[in-house]
This record gives sequence, C-alpha cells and structure tokens, in this order.
Amino acid sequence: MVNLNTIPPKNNRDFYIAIGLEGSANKLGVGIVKHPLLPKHANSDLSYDCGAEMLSNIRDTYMTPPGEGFLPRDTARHHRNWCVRLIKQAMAEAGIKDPTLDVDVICFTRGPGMGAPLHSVVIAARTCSLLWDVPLVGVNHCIGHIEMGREITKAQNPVVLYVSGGNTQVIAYSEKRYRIFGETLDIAIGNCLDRFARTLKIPNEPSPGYNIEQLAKKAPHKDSLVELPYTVKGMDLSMSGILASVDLLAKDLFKCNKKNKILFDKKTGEQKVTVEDLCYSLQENLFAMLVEITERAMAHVNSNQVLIVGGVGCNVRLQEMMAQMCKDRANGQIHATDNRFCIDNGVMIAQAGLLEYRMGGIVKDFSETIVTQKFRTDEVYAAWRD
Amino acid sequence: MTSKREMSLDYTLELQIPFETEGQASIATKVLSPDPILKPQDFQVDYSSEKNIMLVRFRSIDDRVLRVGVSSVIDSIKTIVETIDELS
Amino acid sequence: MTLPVALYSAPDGVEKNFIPTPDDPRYLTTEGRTTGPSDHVLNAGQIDRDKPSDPKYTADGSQLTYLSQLRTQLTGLQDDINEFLTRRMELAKNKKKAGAEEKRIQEEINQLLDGGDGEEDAD
Repeated sequence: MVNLNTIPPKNNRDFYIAIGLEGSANKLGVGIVKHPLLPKHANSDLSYDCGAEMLSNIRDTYMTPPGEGFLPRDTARHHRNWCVRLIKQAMAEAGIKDPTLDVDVICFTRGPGMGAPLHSVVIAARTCSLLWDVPLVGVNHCIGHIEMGREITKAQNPVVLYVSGGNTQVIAYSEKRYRIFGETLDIAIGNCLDRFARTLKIPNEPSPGYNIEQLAKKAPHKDSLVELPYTVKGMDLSMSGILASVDLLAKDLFKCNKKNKILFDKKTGEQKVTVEDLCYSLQENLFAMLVEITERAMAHVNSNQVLIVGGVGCNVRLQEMMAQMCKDRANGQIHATDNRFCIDNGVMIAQAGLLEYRMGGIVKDFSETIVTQKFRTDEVYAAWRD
Repeated sequence: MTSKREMSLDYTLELQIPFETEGQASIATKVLSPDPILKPQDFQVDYSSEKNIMLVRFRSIDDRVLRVGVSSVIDSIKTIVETIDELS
Repeated sequence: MTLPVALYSAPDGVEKNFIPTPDDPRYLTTEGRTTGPSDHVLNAGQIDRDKPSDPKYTADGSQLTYLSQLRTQLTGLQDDINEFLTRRMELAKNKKKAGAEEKRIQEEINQLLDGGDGEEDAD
C-alpha cells in the first residue's frame, strides 16, 4: 500500500496540475495533466487509476525529407525554436493564468534519448521552474510511456512491450522497479523500420513506420513470405541482420537484378516480389520475434495481459498478432493506446512525473537535471507502486 | 615536448549579457551552470552574474572548439531570454 | 539599453570587440544567418518550417520588449562571432595548405639540384 497523497496539492486545492515536457527524439510534446485529490489514494495501490484529466496535449514533430533521418543538431534546433510557443499554447488551452499558483510541478524528460534535443528542452524547463518557483521532476521516457499506458487502459499488471524508434524492451513490474526481461541487442524495432523506409525513400510524413504499415497492407503476395533471418536470442532479439538483409533485397529490386532468385523468377525473369511484399514480410518477421519474447516473459511472470506502448505500438498488425498470442494463452488480452499517447507526448511525462511528485520525489539541486542519453528503465524507483 | 593536455586554453571569449533585472541574470546563470563539458581539457566555461549583467567566460584550445561552444551557449541564452519574455 | 557584447582574444595577439549596431537589420531579426538548418538537410530538399519565433511587442504595440531586443541583438552577435571564427579557421587552414605546398615544391627543387630526374628513386 502507498500513500499517493503524501505531498498535498499546493494552496489547499483539491487537485494537482503538472506540466510535462518531452523532447527525447524528433517529437516535441507539451502536456498538462490534472489529478483530483481523492481519499482512496491515501492507502492503496491505485496509481493506474488517478482520474487523470488531460487539460492539454500539444505536439510538434520535426520532419525531414524522404530518405533522410533526423540529426541531433537540427532536432535540437526544432525543439529550441518551438518549445516556448508550445508551452504558452498549452497553458492557454489548459486555462492556466498564474503558474506560480496553479502548477504543482514541471516534469521533463531526463532521458534516455538524443543528448542535444533533450538539453534544448531542459533549458526551458529549468527557466520556467525558477521563473515561477515551481519544483522540477526529471522523468524516464520509458516510464512515461508505461504510466500513460496504465492510466489509459487500466491494465492491472500486464507485461509491457515498449517498442519505438529508440527502444525495444519487454518489461514486467516487480518490487518497486520495472524490470527489463528482454530487449534488443542492437537496434530498436522502430529504427529498423525507419531506416528501411529511408532505403525505400518513402515520405516521413506522418511517420515512416505508418507508411510502411500501409504498404504492407497492400502486399499482393502475402501467401509467400520472403524469408528473412529470424534472430531471437533467448529472452532478447537482434534486428540489424534483418535490416541488412531486407535493405539488400530492396536495392536488388530497384536495380532489377535478375540474378536474385528470391525477387525474380529464374526462368522467366518475371518479378515475384514487390516493395509492398518486402514491407509485409519485414513486419511479419519482426513482429513474430516480438511476440515470441513477449510470450516468454509472460510465462516467467505468469501473466496473460500485455500492454503495448511506444510509437510502434500504433501498428495494427502488431496488435493483431499480439492479441492472437494472448488469446491462445488462457484467454488473455492486449491493451494499447491510440496515437495521441503511444507516440511520444508531453502528457505521459506529466503523468509519470506527477506520480513521482506526489510521493515526494522532486529535484533538490539542478545537478539532478542533467540529461542523459542512457537511462535504464530499471534505474527508477517506482515509489508510487506497491 | 608539451603534451596536448598541458597546453593552456588560450583562445578566449568573454560575453556580457545585460538583462533587465538582477533576478533575470541570476536565473540565466543558474540555468546554464549545471551542464558538464564533454572535454574539459579542450574547453572551459564559467558563468557568473553581477547585478543585471551575466558574464560568460570561454576558454578554448582552438578557434573551432571555441566557435562550437560559444554558439551553443548563445542558443541556450536565447531560449532563456525568450522564456522569460513570453512566460513571466 | 545596454548592448550584449563580446571580447575575443587569441594567442597570436589578435583581439576583437564584438558590439552590435542596434539599427542595423542584422541585429533586428531572430533569424540568424549561421543558425539555420544544417547544410545536409537543405541539400536533401528540406524546407525550413522551424525558424525562431518573431520578436515580441510591448502591450501598446509601440516597440519591441527589452528582452526581444536582447534576443535579436544576440542573434546578430552570434552570427558575427561565428563568421569571424570561421574566417580565422579558413585562414589557418589555407596557411597550413600553403605551407605544405611550399614544402613540397622546395623538396622537388632539392631533388633536382641533387641530380635526380624529378621522379622517385627505385631504391
């Protein structure tokens, strides 16, 4: 049992308000969250049921031309140039007139992520904190995803699959920590998909992963999967070999390399595989691996629930495959959020940060606000959970 | 032969930023100070404020490192200035 | 208002004062010349939609706020410093290249004087 009301709201109000600032990759998010002060939180384990109200959830994504990824320097510039405007807009939308009176805590992503973009945002966070005399809480980006997922879906104690451009982890909660049961040994799944999208030179809008998903849906030869390496290694997985493989196939396809028997019929030279088929096979292969390591973790902790968070969690095919596996396991189910929340956003940072704030975890010295590219999910002490 | 590490950081730049008030200069100094320098043997920055003026002293091993460091800090200062201007 | 300024000094004796001229358009914009998107993305066809925000006017609209003026002056100052240091780096690089070139020519001359035929000896 925990007391989520350890720190009361300021000025004798009966609600908390938190601002969340997210900028670990190419999305800049500002979110404002309100938690009512409820007696049921004084001695319970209900951090997934805060009655959270989203007063504002604004996001701007730094977009690059097709075939290009986002560089730290330009991403940091985007965040620097937009953060003040977004904070102002979010506060107006939430009706916050006087932050000194109205805002309990400013939450920001301390890591993991890209150094320069993270830093751009923390400069604004520190300044606001001093201007308004409001405390700061540094948040772990992954924990932000998890806590948002829990609050939205009310999943009781699921295995969490966190899949994004920068992260691929299978996580289960145990004794005050989110333990990593399995993870990528090299690149993140979103990174794999994004880089393949660059090889194909498809647009980055609205997101490269989304565009790959749409192409995969239209694959004409779904019944004959292109064989790609299957690289699950115990509880973990690796994906760089698959990317290299599929990149090579795409390049042979563009060059019309008839010698490639996978792509072209050896007698007639006719094309057997299209770009859509490659997208489809890549997804099927990667997602099957994710299903396997997730199931392995579920067996370990004896759970039949999965919560999928992170940008790749928007993928409907992934949700389908995962749901099928859960159903086959003692009729379990998956939980997922929509793209307001599975894609990086400020509200998730406010949510996780506010939970930590309510338990007394504020920044006491600015040295605690130094951002970090590496920040393991299990480093955080989840005081707000039993 | 002098090793690189023992060379003094004798490419210097001193920046003076006049804020409206002592409070603003103090905020800017506090916001900039925490972050560590990646290669302290190549580059050093000191932040201080006197009344409404913030002083930033850079010392670098060459012009290239100085340019990168100075421009980056000015970027941060512009963010601080904009934040105070728009969100006070 | 007091202006933001900078003072540079280098071991070769060069010293420079950077002082904005308040009426010059270089110091009246928030869009710096040296703080745009990187060349790499521009060459890939990027259209910049992430320029800094415009400077802010006072409530009666008569002039820019103090801090907005500071921001535009800093933008110009930053450009001045970046361009100055870049020029110095170029000069240093050219001197080095010129120095290397001179050295090569001198070595060739020496070889000819020593009786070589301008080509590398087999041994």
